[in-house]
Amino acid sequence: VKLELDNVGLHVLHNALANIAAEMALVMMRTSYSTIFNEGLDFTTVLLDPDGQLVAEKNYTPSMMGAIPNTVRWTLEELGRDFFAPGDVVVHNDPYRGNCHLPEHMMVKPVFRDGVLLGFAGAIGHIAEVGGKAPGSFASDATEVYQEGLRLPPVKLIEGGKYNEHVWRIVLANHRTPRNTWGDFHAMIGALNVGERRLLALTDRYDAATVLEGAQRLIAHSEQRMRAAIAALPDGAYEATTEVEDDGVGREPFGVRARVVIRGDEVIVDYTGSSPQVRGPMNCTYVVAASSAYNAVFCVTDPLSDIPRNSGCYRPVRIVAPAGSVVNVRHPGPSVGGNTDLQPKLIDLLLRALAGATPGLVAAASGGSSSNLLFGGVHPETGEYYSNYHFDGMGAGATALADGNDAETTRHSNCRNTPVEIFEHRYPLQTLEYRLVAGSGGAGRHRGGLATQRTLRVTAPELTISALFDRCKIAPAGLFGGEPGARSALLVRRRGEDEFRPFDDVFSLASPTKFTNVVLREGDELRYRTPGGAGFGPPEERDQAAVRDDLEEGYVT
Amino acid sequence: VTTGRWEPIERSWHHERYVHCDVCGRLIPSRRWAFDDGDREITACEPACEELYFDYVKPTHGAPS
Repeated sequence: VKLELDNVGLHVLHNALANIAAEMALVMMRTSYSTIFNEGLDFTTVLLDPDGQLVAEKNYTPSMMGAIPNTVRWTLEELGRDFFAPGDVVVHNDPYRGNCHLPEHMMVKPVFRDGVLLGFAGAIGHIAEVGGKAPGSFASDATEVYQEGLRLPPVKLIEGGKYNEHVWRIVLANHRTPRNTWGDFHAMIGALNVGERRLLALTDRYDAATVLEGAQRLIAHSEQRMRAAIAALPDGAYEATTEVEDDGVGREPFGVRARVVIRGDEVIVDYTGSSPQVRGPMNCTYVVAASSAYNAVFCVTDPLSDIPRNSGCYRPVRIVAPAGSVVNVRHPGPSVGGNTDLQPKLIDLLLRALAGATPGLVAAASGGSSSNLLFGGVHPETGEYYSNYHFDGMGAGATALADGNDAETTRHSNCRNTPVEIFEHRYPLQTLEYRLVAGSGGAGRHRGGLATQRTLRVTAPELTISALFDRCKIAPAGLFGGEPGARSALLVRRRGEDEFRPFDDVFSLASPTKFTNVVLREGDELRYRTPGGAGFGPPEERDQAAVRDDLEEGYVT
Repeated sequence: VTTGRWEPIERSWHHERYVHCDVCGRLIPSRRWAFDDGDREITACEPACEELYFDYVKPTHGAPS
C-alpha cells in the first residue's frame, strides 16, 4: 500500500505506531506476575528509531520520560550499534548509565528487516524486587547505590533468540522473589516480541523506507508544535524554591531551587542552587530531573496531550542539573527515593515557578509522595518468600479550573491503586479500612484532592516492612492563597495496645516515614495515610454550593 | 557556531568511570564534546551544550569552578 506522507498519511502512521506501543503495554499488563505491573501499570512501552530516538509510546508512567532516551543512548554509545543482532534483548537498569533508579529496568529489542536495523521495541518497568538490603529494594537508609539492589549495565538477556543463562542466573540469584522477576521479565520480553512483529507487519503493509521517513517527519512535526506552544508563553525567568523534610538518614531538611527560563521557542529548566547531594536515597539522577522538567513543561504547553509524543517534544527543553546536587547525584550516591519522592516535588516546584508565566495552567502542590511501602516475608499459606512494592493514591493539587483529584497517585507515576481484593489475596495483610480522609484537601477557591488511608492487620507470624515517603513534616503548599494539603502519617499499633503511634516512637528510628526492615508480628496493625492536595486561590472565593456539596458528601468535616 | 571537538572517554569493560557534562550535568557514555573557554577546557555531552554554556550558563552563573 502506498502511504503518502502528507498530513493524513502522517496521522495514519502515528496512530499505527502508537497502537503498537499500546498493544505492547497490554501484553505486559496481562502477562506479568507482579501487582506493580498488572494492577499498578508502573511501566511504559515504546518504539525507537535506529538512533534511539523515541518514535511512539504508551506512556503509563511519565517518570520514565527521561530514562528511556538516555538508557538507549547509553547502550548504543557504550556498546555500539553492531552489538545488536536479530533476536537479542538487552536489559539495563544502571542509574549511573542513564537510568532513573535501580528498580526500573529498560529492555530493548532490535528490529531488523532484511539485515537492516529498522529500530527498537522497548519496555521500561519497575521490577518489584531487585535485591539489596531491604525487601522491595527501597532502603530508606541506604547511603550508596550498592545497597539498593543488583545493578545491570546493558547486557544481553536474550541472545539470538536464546536465553543468556549466565545473566539470568546472576539476576535470579540476587532478587528475593525470582519467580516474579522471571514472570515480569517475560512479560516485558513478550511485549517486545509483539512490538517487533507489529513493526515488521507495518513495513509489510507500507515499505520500510516510508515508515522510517515518516517517523522522522513525525518527530519534526512534534518539535515544531512544541516550539510553537512554548513560544506562546511569555518570555522571562521564573523562579521557585521548595524544602524537603529529610533524606532518610539524617533529620535535616534540604532545599531545591528551580529557575525556568522561557526564551522564544525553547525552555531552560535550571536547578542551579539546589542542595548538595544528600547521604540518603532522596537524590535524583539527571534523568529524573529531566523527566520532571518535561512533565511540568508538557502540562502547560500541551495539557490535552494533543502533540504526538516523541523525541521532537523533548528537543526544545534544556536541563541544567549540577552534578553532585540532590537533582543529579554523583556515584556512588543512592537514588531510589529521588525517583519516587523527590520527582513529584520537582514537578510541583516547576509548576509553581511556571505560575508566573501561565497562572491558568498550573496546579497547587499535590501530595507529592509516592508513599512507598515495602514488605516481605514467608507467606504462611504457601511457605514461599513474597515481597511487594506498594504505593497509593493521595490528594492532587487543585487548579484554576477544578478541585484536585482524590486518591490519585503522583503526577510522575500516573499509576493505578491496588484493589483491596488483590492485596488480601496475595499478601498476609487484612484490610480493616480503605477510605478517603475527610478534610485532607487544602481549602481554596478550588479544593485540594483528598488523601487515602488504609489500616492493615498482619496475619502472618512476622512481616518485614520498609517505608519511604514524606510530607509527614512539611505539608504540600497552596497556590495563589490556597491552603496547604494535610500531611501524611505512618502509624503502628502493636498487638494488645490501644493507640496508633508513629514508627519512630515505637522503634526508635531517625524518621517517622523513612525506615528499613522493621519487623511486625501477627496482630500488629499498620495505618498508612497519604498526603492531601493543596488548594488553589483564596478559600473565601469558593462557590457556596461547592462548600455545601463538600459537607454533604463528607469531603470536609 | 561551535568550536569544540569530539574526544573519546577512556573506559574499558573492566574499569568503571563516571563523567558528567560540565554544562547540563548529564552522564556521558563514551565520547565528550570538549571546547575551550579561554584557557579552561570544558567537557560537554554534545555540541548543543557548548551553545548553552556561552549563551546561558556562563552569563547566568559564571564559569564552573
